[in-house]
Amino acid sequence: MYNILICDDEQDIVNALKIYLANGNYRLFEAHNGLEALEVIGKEDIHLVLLDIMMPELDGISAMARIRERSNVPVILLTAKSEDTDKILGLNVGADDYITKPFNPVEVAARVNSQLRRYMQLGSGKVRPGALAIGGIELDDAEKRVTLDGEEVALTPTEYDILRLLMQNPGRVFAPKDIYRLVWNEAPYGSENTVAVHIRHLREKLEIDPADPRYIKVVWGQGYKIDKGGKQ
Amino acid sequence: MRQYLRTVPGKTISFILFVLSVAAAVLCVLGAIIMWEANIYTTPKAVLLEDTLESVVYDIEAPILSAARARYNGAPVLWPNKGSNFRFILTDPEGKTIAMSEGITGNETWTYTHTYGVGFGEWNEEYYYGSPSDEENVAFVFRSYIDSSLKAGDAFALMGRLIGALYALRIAVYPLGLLMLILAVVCYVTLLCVSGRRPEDEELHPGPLYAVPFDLILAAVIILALLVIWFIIDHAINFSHPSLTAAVIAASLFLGLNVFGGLSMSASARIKGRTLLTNTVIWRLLKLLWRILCFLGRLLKRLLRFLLSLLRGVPLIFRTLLAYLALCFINLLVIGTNLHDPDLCFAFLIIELILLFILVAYIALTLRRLQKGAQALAAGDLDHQVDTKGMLWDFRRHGEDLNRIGEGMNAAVEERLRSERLKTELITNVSHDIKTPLTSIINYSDLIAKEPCENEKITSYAQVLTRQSARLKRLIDDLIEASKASAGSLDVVPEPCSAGVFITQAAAEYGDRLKKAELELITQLPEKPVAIMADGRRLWRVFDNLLGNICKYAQPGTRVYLSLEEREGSAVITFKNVSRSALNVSPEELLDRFVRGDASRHEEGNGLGLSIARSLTELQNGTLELAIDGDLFKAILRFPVIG
Repeated sequence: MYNILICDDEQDIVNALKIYLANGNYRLFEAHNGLEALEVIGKEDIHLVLLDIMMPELDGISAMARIRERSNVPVILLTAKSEDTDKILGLNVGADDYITKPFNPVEVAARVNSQLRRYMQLGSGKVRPGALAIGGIELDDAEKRVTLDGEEVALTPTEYDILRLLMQNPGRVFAPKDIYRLVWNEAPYGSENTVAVHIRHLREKLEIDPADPRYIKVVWGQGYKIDKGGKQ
Repeated sequence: MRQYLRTVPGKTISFILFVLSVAAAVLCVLGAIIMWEANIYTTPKAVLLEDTLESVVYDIEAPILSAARARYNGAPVLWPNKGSNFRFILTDPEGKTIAMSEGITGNETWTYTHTYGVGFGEWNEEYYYGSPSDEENVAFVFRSYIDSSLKAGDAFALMGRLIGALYALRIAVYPLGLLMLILAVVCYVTLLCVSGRRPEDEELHPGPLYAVPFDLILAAVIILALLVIWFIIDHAINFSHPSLTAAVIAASLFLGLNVFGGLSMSASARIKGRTLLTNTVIWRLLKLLWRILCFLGRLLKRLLRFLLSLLRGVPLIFRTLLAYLALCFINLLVIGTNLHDPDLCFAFLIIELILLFILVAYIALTLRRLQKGAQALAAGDLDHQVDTKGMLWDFRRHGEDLNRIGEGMNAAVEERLRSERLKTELITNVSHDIKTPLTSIINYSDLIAKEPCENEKITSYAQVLTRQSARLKRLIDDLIEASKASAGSLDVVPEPCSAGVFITQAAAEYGDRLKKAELELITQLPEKPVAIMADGRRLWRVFDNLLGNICKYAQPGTRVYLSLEEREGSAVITFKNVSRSALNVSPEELLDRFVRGDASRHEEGNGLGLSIARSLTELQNGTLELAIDGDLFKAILRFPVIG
């Protein structure tokens, strides 16, 4: 039973979120501005916070900063602002994830689950020896096993090889041609398309929103990469 | 020492020393000259002494002769020796002694023997001076000597002492004179240094004469000097009184020396105060003259300006005509009155042609400059400024007008950009506000749709709500993006990227969606990689919109072509598809906001996609072109290829 705090000044949105999260075996708390949120966090043992940015009294970004002063509880920002600069700001002040309004209820549930699993079950730094870990993705080369937030993900051998290549070189951009040469061990001739399709499948399996990936990033016109430590 | 020299006594002593040392130096020089004249450096002392004493002997012999002849009465007249070193014996033509010094024994050695004529002393003394040794007139004989001890204080003793002194000094005057000269220079420099100074500080304390113009003082001194010189030449030079003359000249020179010293000190103080030239009557007069000239210049300038303004009042065409007529008139006048002198006429024409050439060249160059400015403005360079420096008359006014056009248009463009930005801001803010209620609409309609309900209608209605609110969401996002892209307030960071990789990635991203729309994608890439400068995320948005449109509007079961070519330095990316419904709008209209290919507008989509794509492409220095050929729809992207 996890405790989730939903903080939004719009009561209708809080209610909708409560309905969506009701069947997930969570205890739900609500707050309507930043100060209330801080109060609840002070009193209860909260495991995850869904935080709106534009609120009266104390806005989400400031509340976020205050929360981070004493706790590393996962915080997912909920906001109507969808521009890239807003996302970057939110993640920089310490948010773990970011959901734009209007949101897809399924996506909210998925992101909440993902954050909770990582925070509660895995903790941080508990990586098995010989395994590669970036964000919630863990790749154990000995067992040929990949887990996302602790749950095993089924990958084809090619997808596995591509993921391993990217995870072994976090931050480095691989052109489709390079990936083909390194994974297939063949001269790439008009086969870049294959690589791109595999990467897409990989993203569909590992990302909550494949169009806005957290881990496997498309560097348009250049190739693909995995960021160090994902979006955090 | 330095401080003491600055006090009044110090200055006074320096001054006196200066005057005295100059005087001494002058005396030394004069003495040397006189001694040269007197052969003191070439004659031994004894010879000179004897010669000199003999000249004195001549002087006293004549009066003794006259007196002795007058007093002679048969017995020799005895001359007293008291007060004189002169010893003599005087005999008459018969050899009788008529006069002698007391105590003469006749055994003395006579140094000098002088003879005088018989009539000497009766008529004219001077008559015989010239020929005292004339044998025919030899009559009176003076034999004399001088007591070499020179005990008595007479003229001989004086002369002897004088010559002794001269011989003693004849070598000493040179070092003495040099010493005096050095002392004079030192004193002079000291005086120049201390003038206008006081011991207590380093400030300038000028004397009372400081305020008087220097040239006035100088003029007074020169006039005074000229008066003195005139007086000396006209009155004081009197050869019968040489010592008086010398005294007057010496006094004048001494006075002059004093005045020179004072003048030098004053000049030095003025140089220190930087008023030597400025505090003069001449300077003031020149300044006044300069001011008058300036005033006259200003007056002339104003007059010219007035005349020019009069001329400027005349319209340009009349002015040109007027100038032309004036030129004709001058030509006629000069040539008409000088017909008899063809050389002059020819010279006049040459000069006129040269002047006209200069004028024409000036006009041509100025026009060229104005033309360039206008061309730059026409080409859209609103910051271009016509350089009106050196332009005259109407050209300058025209140039300034052109510059003002640029300014005005700049202001208008800036104003437009500003209002575009305000509009974008407004749209963004409103959109954010719309999104909050929209979230609830989407969520609750979704909840209704999921609610188990017997009435199927309710479920289907809720689905409509869900679908339409999702469309509204997309519309809002697109609206924000479209307004930002067209206002240019999106930050675009172009990087080198490969157009081929781009197409591969896009094809992979859209593979499933195209398959779902029953479309077959065929990509055509060149073998050689084509590099372009683009902001990857922005360019992806362009591809996203174009491929999204293809999914929405292409005829199912047809092929879609996505090709890349390098043509004339451009990377040309072409999207080709067959439209599902007839396209009865022009490509230009399609690129406008909210215009869609299907007139009924019932399809999904909002008509912003192509507009956003074009704005984003242009932000990355590319172009987006649409072509419609029947049902064939083509979108062509062009980006400059980088080396």
